[in-house]
Amino acid sequence: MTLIIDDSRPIFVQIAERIEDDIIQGRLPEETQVPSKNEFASFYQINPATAAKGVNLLVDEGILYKKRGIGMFVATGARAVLVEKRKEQFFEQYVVTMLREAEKLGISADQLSDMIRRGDAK
Amino acid sequence: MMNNVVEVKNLTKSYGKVTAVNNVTFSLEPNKIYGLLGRNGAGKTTIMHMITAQLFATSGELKVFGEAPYENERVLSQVCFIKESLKYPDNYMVKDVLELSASLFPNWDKEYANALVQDFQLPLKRRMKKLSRGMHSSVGIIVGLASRAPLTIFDEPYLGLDAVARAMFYDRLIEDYSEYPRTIVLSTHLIDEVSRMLEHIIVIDGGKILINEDADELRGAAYSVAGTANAVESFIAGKKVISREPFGGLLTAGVFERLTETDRKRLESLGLQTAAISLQQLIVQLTNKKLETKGGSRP
Amino acid sequence: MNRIANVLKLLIRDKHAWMTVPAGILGSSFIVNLIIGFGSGVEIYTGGLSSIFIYMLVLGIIVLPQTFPFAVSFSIRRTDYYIGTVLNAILSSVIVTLILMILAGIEEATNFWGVQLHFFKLPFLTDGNLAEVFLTEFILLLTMFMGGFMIGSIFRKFRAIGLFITSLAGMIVTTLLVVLSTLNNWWEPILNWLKDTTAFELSLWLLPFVACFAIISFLLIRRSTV
Repeated sequence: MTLIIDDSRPIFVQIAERIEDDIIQGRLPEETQVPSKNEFASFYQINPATAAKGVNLLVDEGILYKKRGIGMFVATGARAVLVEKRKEQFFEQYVVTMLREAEKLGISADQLSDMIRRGDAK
Repeated sequence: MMNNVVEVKNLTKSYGKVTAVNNVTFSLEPNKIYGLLGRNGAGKTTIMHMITAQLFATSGELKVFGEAPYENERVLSQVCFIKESLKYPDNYMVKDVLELSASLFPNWDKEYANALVQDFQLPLKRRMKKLSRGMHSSVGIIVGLASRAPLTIFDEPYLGLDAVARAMFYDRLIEDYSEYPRTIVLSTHLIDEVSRMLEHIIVIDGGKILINEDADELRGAAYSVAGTANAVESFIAGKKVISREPFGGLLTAGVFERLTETDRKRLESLGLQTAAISLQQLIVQLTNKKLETKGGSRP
Repeated sequence: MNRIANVLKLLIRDKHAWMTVPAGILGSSFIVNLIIGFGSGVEIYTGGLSSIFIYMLVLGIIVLPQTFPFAVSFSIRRTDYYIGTVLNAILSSVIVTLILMILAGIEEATNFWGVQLHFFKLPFLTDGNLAEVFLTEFILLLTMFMGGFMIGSIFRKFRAIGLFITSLAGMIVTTLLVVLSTLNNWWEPILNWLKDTTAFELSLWLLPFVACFAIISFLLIRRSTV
């Protein structure tokens, strides 16, 4: 998994997003340990404090928790929470946009559903 | 904060009629990586020389580790300043520099230094005079890293280093900083390469501070707008415009504001395109032209 | 003490400037004179020894540009740099003087190197007992170094303009003294006095100059920038 850091968005947010991605895709199962801030820093050549900020963001949201003396772990139920969040984002990002575009082109909601089924059949 | 590593207040340095550093105020907190950025001649090097007591200020207040640095052993022993093209005594060999550094810097790590010498493939017995520029820089980098000085300043440390060696420097820097946090100042014009490592960014332009911000705050703090000149002009009216690039009937403008939802919708309705501005581009644009506050005015 | 030891280390690392080059200069001057001695078969009193004294002057001048910017960049205090350099000069002068005296001893023992070459043992300069000879040569070496050091520090702080003004001032003062001496017929008593003074006593007169050079250099270095 190569991460191209986007220089035009805060890095700590991108770190948080990568961790969320890993959790959703099952690369980071619940109750497993997340890489340390130093490991993140070394891997992506970023400042460890930035990595820590990204991790802490997820700790605040309850996605990760800290085991004293050991490190950061994925919380139980984290995946479910994230999937819900992503679904809502999906709706905003893709569905709403799609509907707007469809409206421009004069495609009705029913025609839209047909298109979706057509795309799914491929 | 009382235990700032560096406190600078109204610092000014003039040479006759020329003011190299103009009433500059900022502070550096412990255990952070700072980027001191700006064009050549903007005043960065002058400021760093004053912090290390190599130059004397014309006026203003300067404290390092809470004290004035001039002739101050307590302060100076905790500072390591690696500047580009440092002149070593003529007959010095690489190993002379390293052995001397070992006695000068209280936190020197000999094994780490040796490991770095291997990494950078430095010939220990060669005269400093006879080293290529890249190797000369490598020596400086090794001293800067192995000194583990609580305040370590690198002024354009990569003169002559190829991309591989630079990547190795960043790698070692992050690694060592993670394990031994300290205050590091990187002064450079190669913003892109190092921007990810920086926590805080200070941009100096014409002897004054242009930006003094958390690095992440600056990412995504500006965006560019492109489209037909008229549409762009109407969009950017009243905004903080930092650049303008006309091309035929088209115009690309840089706006130093965060893109709000309302603005994004307005962009779409006007048929304009937008892209985020990277840190490097932001700094380049800011230092190329002074900030315009009225978007509607034409040069 | 540790800090000054570091300055000493800094300087001594440059073995060439402090050991090999002066040895080479003195050595080659000696060998040339030895060869001439062989060839000519006449008794020779040579001034080749002056080479080492001139070298000390040169060393004093170049030690600053060579090591000052480097030392200050490596977080060494100016005061420590000054003390360390002067201390190094004193130690070097002691060592060189001892070497010169030993060689003078050998010169006497070998009946002037078998060729009647007076290189290290010269009348007037090396007259007097051991202590006097030691002090004479030591003070002379130190004066040369400190003179050079002061010149170097003037250049460091005030660049070429400073040197120019200083030389000009020096020339004016010297000219004035010469003119005054001539007008007031001071030459005779001066020459008489010189005739009656030993090298050792003259060298003692150099001490106030050394002190001046030392103080001026210190003040200039304290305010020098890199």
